[in-house]
Amino acid sequence: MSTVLAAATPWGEIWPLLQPALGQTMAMIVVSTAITGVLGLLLGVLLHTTGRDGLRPLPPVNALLGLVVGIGRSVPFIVLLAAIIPFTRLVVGTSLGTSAVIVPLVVGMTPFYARVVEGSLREVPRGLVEMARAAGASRLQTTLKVVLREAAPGLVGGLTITLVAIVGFSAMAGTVGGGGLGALAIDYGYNRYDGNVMLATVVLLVVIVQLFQFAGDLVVRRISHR
Amino acid sequence: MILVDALTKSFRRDGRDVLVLDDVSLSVGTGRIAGVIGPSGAGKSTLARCINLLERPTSGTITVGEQELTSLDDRRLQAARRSIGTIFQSANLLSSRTVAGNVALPLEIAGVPRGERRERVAELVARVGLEDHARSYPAQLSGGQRQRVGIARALALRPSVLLSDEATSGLDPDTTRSILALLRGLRDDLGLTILLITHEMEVVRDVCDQVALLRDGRIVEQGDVASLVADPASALGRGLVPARPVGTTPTGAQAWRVTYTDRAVDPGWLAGLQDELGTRVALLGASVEAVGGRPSGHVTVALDDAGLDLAARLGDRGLFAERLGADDEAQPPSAVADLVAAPPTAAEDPGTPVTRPSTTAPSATDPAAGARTGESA
Ligand SMILES: Nc1ncnc2c1ncn2[C@@H]1O[C@H](COP(=O)(O)OP(=O)(O)OP(=O)(O)O)[C@@H](O)[C@H]1O
Ligand SMILES: [Mg+2]
Repeated sequence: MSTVLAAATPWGEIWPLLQPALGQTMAMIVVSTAITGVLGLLLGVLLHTTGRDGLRPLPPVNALLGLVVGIGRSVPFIVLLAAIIPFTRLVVGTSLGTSAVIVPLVVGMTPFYARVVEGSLREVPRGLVEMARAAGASRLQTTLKVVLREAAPGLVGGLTITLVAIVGFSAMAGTVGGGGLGALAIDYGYNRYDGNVMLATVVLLVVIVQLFQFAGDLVVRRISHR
Repeated sequence: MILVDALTKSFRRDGRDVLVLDDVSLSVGTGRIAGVIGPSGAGKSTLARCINLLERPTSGTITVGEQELTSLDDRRLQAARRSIGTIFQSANLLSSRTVAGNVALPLEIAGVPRGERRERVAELVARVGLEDHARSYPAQLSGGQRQRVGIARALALRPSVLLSDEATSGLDPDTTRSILALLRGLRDDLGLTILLITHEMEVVRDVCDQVALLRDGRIVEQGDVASLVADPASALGRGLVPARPVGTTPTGAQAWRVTYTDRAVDPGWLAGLQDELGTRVALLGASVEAVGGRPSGHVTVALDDAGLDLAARLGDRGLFAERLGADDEAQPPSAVADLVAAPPTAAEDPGTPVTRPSTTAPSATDPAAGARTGESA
């Protein structure tokens, strides 16, 4: 091992190297997940509401939304990353750096989370919707107080899955100028055979994913009373 | 008050319209409890869903209180629905909310301020006897308790009308009785008008003032429970107080089926009759239940003197008597004293004639068969 990975950074010098990359990665993950969560939730609610069994069935609108989501989900992330560079520039003013990576992450993951949301909402028993309507609730009240609240455990669980996927894609995005742990691992670990940096980034990514997964599970358990 | 007028409802299924409710008219006065009974698929739930307009009627009108619901726009309909409380078979509680939270939902929807809401919820939870469970989640409750939460929630906005679709199905008899007692108490205390959908005759008999029998989307028979039970010709009445197996008619005796046709029958009529006739009146069977607090139903008796006209004797006591089976000689000889109860028939339908083992002749006395002839006359 040490013969191949000759240029390994000494363990004492790794942290100063990791720290900024960790900060960039966390920023990418948290901001992308937050924006994806909001947009995906909206899109998912629209998909569900306009669907056949939704509160306001609108087949044409639903078909259009479904098409958009379908396209979004079928483009490989690495292609998307390059394909939407003009759009990224338009939104954040640059196609390089951490903030520029957030745009493709959000665009790529929102359709995914929207489908997760739609699936969770569909799990809410129809009887509950009828109950709310019979009690005089408007469609909006029904959605906010009954459908979303009952689906909350699924929504949070789905967001955790989305976040973990974003961690993976953020590493990929790092290679095209986004920085973060992914870029570090490629720069040092892959290009310079620096085994220590490689190992440290991998361990750090594993820890990050585990922490978020744990936190997500904890929240789900807290809000679920089934 | 609930007024359903000429209601029809059809669903589109496999490219054609299926008529599920056919010209249904129904009126329930304020403070009355009305039952709707009928076999599975008759359209009972659809009727309930049409009354609060969860389902839009194909034609006909629905009036609740003073309001004609079918003509209202979305917003007005939402407001109108707040005066209709609905209880569902599966209770439909939010798993994410406590008992108190579930009861509070309609109040939140209606925009009742927090302080008032809390007070009202406490009052309602106490009303249904769940004070100790206010902080419990539905998953921690029994079926009967869940149903009580559903009732408390239905009452939250002080509705004038309560719709209950199979609220007691799947509950054990004791729990059913306590839920029904609760509903009756609500009617007595709050003057609620209640529409009870059920497939259990006992529920109708025990709490309803009036009843409608729905079959294949049509009302086949309806009326006051007490008068239906008192009407010897009413199939629904007989279903409410079903005929049970009766003892074999003794040799030489005449069997009579006596129906309570008056609400004010002297409960001591049988002893009185015996004193008056100076002869033994054998009791072969009785299906007498309290309907509206008064004994109602029918009894089968046998008199040794076959020539006696019981109908004439009982007419002015609020009792209707009909002679049963003319072939008493066909019965095996037995004394009045050693009557044997006929074994009950298996899986007996309420209202279907009771068959008894005929030992010698096919035309053995069959009180139910007699009753059948009696009513076709
Ligand atoms: N949304 C719907 N679309 C199509 N058909 C329906 C719909 N709702 C009910 N039906 C049909 O209407 C008929 C009556 O149904 P309904 O649920 O009112 O019966 P029910 O008397 O309540 O029966 P049960 O005692 O089993 O609850 C059934 O044949 C059912 O298939
Ligand atoms: Mg039903």
